Amino acid sequence: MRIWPLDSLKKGIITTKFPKKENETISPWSTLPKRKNDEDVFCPADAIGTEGVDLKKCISCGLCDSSFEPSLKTDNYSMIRKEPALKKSFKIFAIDSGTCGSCNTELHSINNPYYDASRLGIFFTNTPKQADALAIMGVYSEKMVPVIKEAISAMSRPAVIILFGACPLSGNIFGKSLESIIEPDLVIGGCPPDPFVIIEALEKVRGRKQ
Amino acid sequence: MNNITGFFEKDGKFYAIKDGTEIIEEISLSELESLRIYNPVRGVYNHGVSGENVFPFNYGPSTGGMIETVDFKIYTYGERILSLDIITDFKNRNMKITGHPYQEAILIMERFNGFHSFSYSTLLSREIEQKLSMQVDRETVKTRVILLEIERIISHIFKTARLCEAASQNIASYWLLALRERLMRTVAQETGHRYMFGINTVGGLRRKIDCNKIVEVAGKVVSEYKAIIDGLTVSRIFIDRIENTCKVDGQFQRGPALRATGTQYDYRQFDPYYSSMDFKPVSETGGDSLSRFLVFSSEVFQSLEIIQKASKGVFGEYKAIDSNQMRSGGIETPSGDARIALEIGDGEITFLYLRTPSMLNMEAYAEGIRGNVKTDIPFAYESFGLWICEMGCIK
Repeated sequence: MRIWPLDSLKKGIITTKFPKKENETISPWSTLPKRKNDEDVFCPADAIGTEGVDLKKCISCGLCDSSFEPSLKTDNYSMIRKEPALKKSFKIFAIDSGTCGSCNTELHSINNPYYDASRLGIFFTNTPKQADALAIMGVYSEKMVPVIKEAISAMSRPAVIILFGACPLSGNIFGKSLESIIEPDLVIGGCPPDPFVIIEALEKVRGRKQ
Repeated sequence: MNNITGFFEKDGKFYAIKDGTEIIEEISLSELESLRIYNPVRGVYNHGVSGENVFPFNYGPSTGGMIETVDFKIYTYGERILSLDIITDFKNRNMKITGHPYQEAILIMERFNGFHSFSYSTLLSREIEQKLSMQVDRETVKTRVILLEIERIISHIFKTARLCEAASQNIASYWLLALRERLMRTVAQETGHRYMFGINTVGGLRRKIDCNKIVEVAGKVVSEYKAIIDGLTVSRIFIDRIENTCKVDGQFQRGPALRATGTQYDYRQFDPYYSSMDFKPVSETGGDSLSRFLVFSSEVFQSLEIIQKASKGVFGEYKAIDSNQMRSGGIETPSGDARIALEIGDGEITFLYLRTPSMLNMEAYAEGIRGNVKTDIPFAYESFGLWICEMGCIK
């Protein structure tokens, strides 16, 4: 008979020390691309501008690889407002407005033993009533608008709203963004965002990382 | 008669796609109406019932318990499920591929189901290559086969983890999630993306991929997966939860859900990429969640064998031969076979029909869950490997 807890102890610790120490790995094209030469290049998401790549539009496809390379940095997010009152404990409720499934699984990846976000006081909750943060993923879907609005009004305050991934930020290359109906406190870029990027962004919006 | 597995309308005529053949046949509307398979026009999987003290119990559309947005309307008078409506269109994305150039169409297709993105992008790339009578080199075929099987392993490990979580086998669930993460990190290092986005293109692959490291890590991951499966299959707590849960028979469901009913049907049997593999599908006869679990866990070991054979084997060049006749290609995604009907012109997609495995498996799930109790819902759901994103409209 297998004694699961004993077998687990034998495996040792695999959890990262991030954000105290450097991230061990990252999904290259989920980070914001940086220019390596001046050659003009086509971007299907129209994310390339004079000031670089727009994190809201970039869909992590790597089609720009003749002129750009992955930055491999964990800074693919932008914070509008931080909420230091959530430093101790941070409960997330995820809403899928119209995703391909990868953002959903990447957000929940921060719970797997390699990241173990609970060591940082980050948890998931099954109801918006108990949530400190609402992570909204996917493109605009008409039927989901009242669901999202109801979830926002059900949340207790203080709380933060997060737009998660390229779909709600720009509509990706096939849909409409959610920015016209939601004012976010934090936007996380990437298609989908890498778990290390997610952890760093969440730590920052809680005021735990400068 | 071959099983009809999909149908579509084009220029006022109806066409049927059948199992075991790529030829598309014209079909009358009256024949279509008598089919048992999911009708995409209907949109809602409606099985409402009424009776004394029967009430609909709503679960969804947005809850922490489900990965994706879906609304279940459970008809019950207490604990037993009399029937189940599944409302999947809350997150309908109405994706439009027609009118897009090939590469953009492939990018959109990857985002149709990001979890099985490589299967779908390979399906579309290969179908365009067929239409263009394009020759694909042996290295591309080999890498595609390896990555398709890696995607299957990742998907099946995730499904096992979700099943363990539903059955409160939390340690096993976390072990499995760690295995999946290990494999995904290797995939990210070698392919540039954790979900293999941006790799496929018409005629080949956009990045040079060295599969040796992926194959090596897959070997270690699968051997640890075996140790976990050995532990789960002797756990009465786990087996009791999934045995006799959501029993389905019939022929219309896809993938492991179909093979768990004793039907040896797997699109890889007909797939030219697998022609040198001597491929034989894994099957079970129970038709319940346990049988589905046994099928997809065995497929993880089978996928590793295919990967190891492919990495050592020599593939022939894959020459697509297109006939002018309308045909339907397919691919065995981790959830079952997806079928496609495609037309192209002037460098862009002009017509697309896609039948995904979840379209049919959702109907099978709704039928099988009748008579079970509410706590069986998560075990049954996870054992099918259903993806709501696959249910959306794509043109």
